[in-house]
Amino acid sequence: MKNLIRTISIICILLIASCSKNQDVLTVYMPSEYIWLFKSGLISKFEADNDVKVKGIYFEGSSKIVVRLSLEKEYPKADIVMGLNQVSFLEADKLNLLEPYRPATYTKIKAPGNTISPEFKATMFDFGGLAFIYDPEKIKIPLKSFEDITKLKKSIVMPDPRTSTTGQDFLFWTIAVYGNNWLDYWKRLKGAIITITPDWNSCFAKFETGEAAMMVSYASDEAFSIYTYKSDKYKVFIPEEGGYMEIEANALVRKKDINDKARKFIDFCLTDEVQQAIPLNNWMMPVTDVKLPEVFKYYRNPEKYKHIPNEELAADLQIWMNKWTELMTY
Amino acid sequence: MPFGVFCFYNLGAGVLQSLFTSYTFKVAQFTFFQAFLSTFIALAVALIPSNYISKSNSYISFFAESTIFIPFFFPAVSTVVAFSIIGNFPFLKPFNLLYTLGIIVVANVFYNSPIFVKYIGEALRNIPVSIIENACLEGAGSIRIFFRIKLPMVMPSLLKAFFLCFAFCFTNFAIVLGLGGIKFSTLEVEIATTLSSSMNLSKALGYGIIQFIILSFISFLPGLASSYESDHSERKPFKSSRFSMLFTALYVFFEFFIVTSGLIFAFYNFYTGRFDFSGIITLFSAGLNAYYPVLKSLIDSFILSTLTALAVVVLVYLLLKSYSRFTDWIVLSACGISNAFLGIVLVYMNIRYSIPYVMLVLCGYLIISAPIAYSFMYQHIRGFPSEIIEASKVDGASVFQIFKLIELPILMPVFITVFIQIFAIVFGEFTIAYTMQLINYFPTVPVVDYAMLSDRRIIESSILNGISVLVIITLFLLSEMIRKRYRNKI
Repeated sequence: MKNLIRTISIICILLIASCSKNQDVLTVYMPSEYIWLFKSGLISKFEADNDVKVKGIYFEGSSKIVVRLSLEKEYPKADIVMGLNQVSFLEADKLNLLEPYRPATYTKIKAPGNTISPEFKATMFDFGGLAFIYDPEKIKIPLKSFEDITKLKKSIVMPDPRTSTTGQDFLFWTIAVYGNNWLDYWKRLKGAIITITPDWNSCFAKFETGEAAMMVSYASDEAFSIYTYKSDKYKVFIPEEGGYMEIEANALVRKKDINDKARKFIDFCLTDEVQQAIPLNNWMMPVTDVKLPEVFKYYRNPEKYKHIPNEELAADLQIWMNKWTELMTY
Repeated sequence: MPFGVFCFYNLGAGVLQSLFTSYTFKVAQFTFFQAFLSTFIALAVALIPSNYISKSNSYISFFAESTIFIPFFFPAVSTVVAFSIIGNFPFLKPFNLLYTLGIIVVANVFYNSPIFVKYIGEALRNIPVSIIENACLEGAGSIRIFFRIKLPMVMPSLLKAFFLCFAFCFTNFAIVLGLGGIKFSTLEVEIATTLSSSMNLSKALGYGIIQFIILSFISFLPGLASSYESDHSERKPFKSSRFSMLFTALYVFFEFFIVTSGLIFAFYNFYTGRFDFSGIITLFSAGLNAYYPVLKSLIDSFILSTLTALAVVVLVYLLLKSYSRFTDWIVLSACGISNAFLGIVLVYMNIRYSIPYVMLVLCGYLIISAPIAYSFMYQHIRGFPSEIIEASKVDGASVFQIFKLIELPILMPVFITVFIQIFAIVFGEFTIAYTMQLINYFPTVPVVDYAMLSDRRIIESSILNGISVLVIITLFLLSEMIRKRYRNKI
């Protein structure tokens, strides 16, 4: 009997000891493509330097992250949210889900255009220009402007603005170019569209398998093609009216006790080693002034960027979405 | 209960607002129309094959009956992939078949007509021969026999198949979205789109309520016809016409051609334009598994599918033993629950009460698969010869003895088939797993597959998809073998 009590006591002590040794855990909500941060070993380095475990929870797109954060508002589980675009940032901000934090090295951010949040409720992480990519074997007409795209017949696939950040930004791009006449442009564009998919990946699959000759994607895709396939099998086209920039930002999730290591994580995302890894992993541009890889000479930088201010976007977003949905369905 | 908790804390007046808009009406109207059209055509297509399988024991009959694995086993995503490949065949491309109502209906018919084939075929086969023979002796002709005997006796199965087929078409997500594109949005597509893009939970619930009401209403259909005692004994094949055989052969070819096309995609490398099997090694490599838990997902899916299937078989058996009309309604109305909405509700239960994901997902799968098990087991358990049970009771057998010595041996093929069916459904289920972001907590095969696709790992993702299709087909063949063996023993 004594032996049994002794054994149970030892087990209990060991259990308590193992519990008390518990490491700090940072829960990070991120888009699924951010898995590269773990693959590249950058997260392991952060974990070792800060004696913390980083738990990545992946979502398909930042809009789903905001939906989850809003459900968790009273019981927040995440410490950090990554990959917010302009709209998801505005939605999260409206619901008061984010905690302002100005990173120690914020002055390093050199990205052009919008800084997403002057109050640093979110910190820019990377950015990239939107573009059309196309198969030059299938599209022979010269492409210059947005109007040239409407001349194509059943050739383009694009992601749905309601479910995809790429689709969303493409809609905003056309609104930024055409102003109040954007719906008329979409009426002309309708004939050129094969289908609209829920996300960028399904679009890309259709483009890769040859089902579509053109898709809405990113200005880095030619560089990606050359780097991955050693050939420029896709061509990038940015209409002369100007490009549109997609921004991705990171933020602290608002909660009672914010772990100081969460702040360190936001700082870490602006370090040179992380920023230098962005181009070849996320195929976006770094926001700090780091050296770009050689292949990024194929990155298409438009002469000018079109932009919609946060206030206008927040005010009209739902109206635009409803009008777009009514035009494109049934 | 989870729905009640969710609604109590999250929803407001927006539900009513979303119910009464012209857009909602358009979506509901189209959802009903495409489901009704698809179900009606599926029934028409299935009539000849079902009649053929009830009369013949040939290989064609075996394969026609085997198509039942498609609606219950074959992943809807694989159907979309197969039709996309076929729609892009050079000789079909000029017809612009993809992204039309036509392709949605054809895919729905492909996916759901086997339900009619199986249910009607089996019901026809189980009509006691003595009844037909007596009718013939009384001078009834074949038309009279069909309308006065066969049709009423088949009606419960036909209505059940109609309801299942309609419910599948009505709530289908992947086929409508993948093959129709957004211009053909249905209620389920709208629910998923709303839940994944905005915080408008009220709007999503509004769509969910319409879906639930329509399907609950339709779920009364199977109860309209009274059931008859069936005859499960083995019988000699009847003679069937050559036209009937030819039509069934064509039907079998169509169904299996689509299934095989989906498998080809698994090993075709679109980068090189060649068949490539090297992805299998990568798929199971430690490097890939460190980020995409392929092996873990196979194990998790296996555990989850086994537990759910076991629980469903036991639950549905008990429900049918204590049957009432209310049981019919409560079980079958679960068909009206949107999977995407169910996923969000389960996530909310985790957030609010910290219930582990594995328990929640098990509960979710129990809810969605119970109606299928229920419709399949209904006739076998409710139509079980009551005189045998009564006789054993008179002889003093206990409830457990009756189950162990009488019901279990006779119903074993049914239990095994339902178990494997539910196993396959859970193994390939995507919507709930995806909505719950299970990859982060309890990765299952479909979500890991999708995660790889998202990271441009198209080859590995296609192979994993191919593997799950192969697992599913193997399971189905296994269930058929076991069923046949038991049937022969009995």
